[in-house]
Amino acid sequence: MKLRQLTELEWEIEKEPPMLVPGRVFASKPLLKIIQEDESLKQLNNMAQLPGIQKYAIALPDAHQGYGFCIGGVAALSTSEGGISPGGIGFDINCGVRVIKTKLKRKEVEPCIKELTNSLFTGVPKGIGKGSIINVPRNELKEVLARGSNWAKDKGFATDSDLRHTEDNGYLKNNNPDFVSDRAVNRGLPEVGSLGSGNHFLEIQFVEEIYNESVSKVFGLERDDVVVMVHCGSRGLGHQVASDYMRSIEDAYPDIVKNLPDRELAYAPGGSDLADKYFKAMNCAANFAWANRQLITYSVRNVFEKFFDHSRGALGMELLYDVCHNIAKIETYDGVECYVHRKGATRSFPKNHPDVPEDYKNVGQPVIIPGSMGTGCHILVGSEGALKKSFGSTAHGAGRLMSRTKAYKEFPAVKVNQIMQDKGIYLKSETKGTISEEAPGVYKDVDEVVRVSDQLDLAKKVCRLKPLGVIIG
Amino acid sequence: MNYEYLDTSTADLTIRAFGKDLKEAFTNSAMAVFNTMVDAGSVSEQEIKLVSKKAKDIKSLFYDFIEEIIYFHDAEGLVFKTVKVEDIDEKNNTLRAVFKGENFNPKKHKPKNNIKAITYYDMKISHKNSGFEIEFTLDL
Repeated sequence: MKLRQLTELEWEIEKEPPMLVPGRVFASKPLLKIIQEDESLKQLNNMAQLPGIQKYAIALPDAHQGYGFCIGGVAALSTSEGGISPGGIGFDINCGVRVIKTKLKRKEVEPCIKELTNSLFTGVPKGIGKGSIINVPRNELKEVLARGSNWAKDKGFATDSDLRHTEDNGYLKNNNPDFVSDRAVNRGLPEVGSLGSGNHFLEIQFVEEIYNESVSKVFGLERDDVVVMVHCGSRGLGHQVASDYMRSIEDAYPDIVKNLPDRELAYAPGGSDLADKYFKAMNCAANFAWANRQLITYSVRNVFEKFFDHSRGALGMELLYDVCHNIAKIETYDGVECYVHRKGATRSFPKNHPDVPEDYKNVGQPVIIPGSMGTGCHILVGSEGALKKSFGSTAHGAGRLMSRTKAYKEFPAVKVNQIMQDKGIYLKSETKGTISEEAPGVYKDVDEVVRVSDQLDLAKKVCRLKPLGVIIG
Repeated sequence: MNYEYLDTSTADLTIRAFGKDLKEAFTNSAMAVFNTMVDAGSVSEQEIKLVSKKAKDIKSLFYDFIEEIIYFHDAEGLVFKTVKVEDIDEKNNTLRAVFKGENFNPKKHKPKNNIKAITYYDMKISHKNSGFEIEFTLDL
């Protein structure tokens, strides 16, 4: 594999058979060095072999090893010549992040951060034996799958403004709940409105630094404003949809799978019945994830209302935005309609793009990039460069640096708790294991990931958020 | 040693399980998965789940076998203590197994990891000198 430097932050894996296009890596030298330590580039090379792939296979600055595609990977496959690959989306369909604003200031929240975090920990269920926000009857789950955040709105869990400030308004209409298996439904039923565990989190943060005053103003964020960030996805339902269709595709297209370098790149050819079914089932899982994050938002607002004895309106608990970072969308680039696979990648649409909400039309969509729990998160704004270079995409997080087994050894829970305490961050977790796995040192430097994104114009920096209280499942 | 956690995967969890035969390697793989969710030692045997699978090849059979554990956990809230693989037919790729466990109870069981899925990534089912070895990766 030949890696060639194109510019300071752009690298190319030269096209060699059986690759159909080159690979493109967006990274600084230090980030590239980390990316080269695992199988990410080999996976990028594999992605470049998929039929119908446009321009190049992309690894973003937070890229790390996944299965099939690398995480932090983008590939646009023509809807006619290519196809759709569940392994290019990930098991956690529509895993995503949202930010809920408040009118509270850091100095009002910091003194009671422990109590507030504990209240949220109790108020937001984690799923499986740990409860979910509501029990949805089986026949109603179809409504969740078909209507996403619209279902939540009808039930009183969402406002019009929430929907306007969610990617795709929190609902993808090209769906069909009949294509979601009973097994997936059974896994989803006990989990409607639950955070999950692993790298999923809920954080109370404040605006630490503003890089772009005018955009920040449009987003309604000022220095020291307190916000709540939620990171989770479609839970077991989405995982089962991915598993089910990987199997269906393998069974239906053994010849395709046989010729792929990795079984998990299996794709349903564009125009096939299976591609249509998977796309519609995936959109159901995406709708489930939005409904899930919306229910969590509802619970967060309830906890804040009770805790501060003010209405959510008075507390200014508006949704800034909600992005999904594991999904395939049908979008058109250079006249070619594609399934744009974003696996651990955030859509980054610039100002005046038709898919940017009206309130942000003049600046671009908010792009939310969380870092590890001890460092910070960034709000960026979608930019033109992304449309030219990365099929309208940028990074989705800091990206993992080391394996979980190594994390256990290097970051025992006691040590992580101490690190967090030293940083003035209150950490509440269900398990010790997760504390180690999510330790700040386990992730790459999010500031560097964001710097690369900003410099390449994939998304521009707006402000940096710092955690005060962290909940992990 | 029945199984070990490997250091090869950045985001996920790779497990290598051993067995004198395929039955035992499957059993130890399942035990590793049980212990990834909670400490299997803290679980009682109150619920019994019978599993019968048929697949097109041995890797798919193994995938389905492990996926069943994840499914029972998510859909029915179960955690497991033991597994007995009663029969594996390597020619026809079929198996029958019995899982024993109980409902997850936060007062009794400490949750460890939420498993999203088993993956085919770098999955290896190989015959080694004195038995079988299975390497597989869980998406957490």
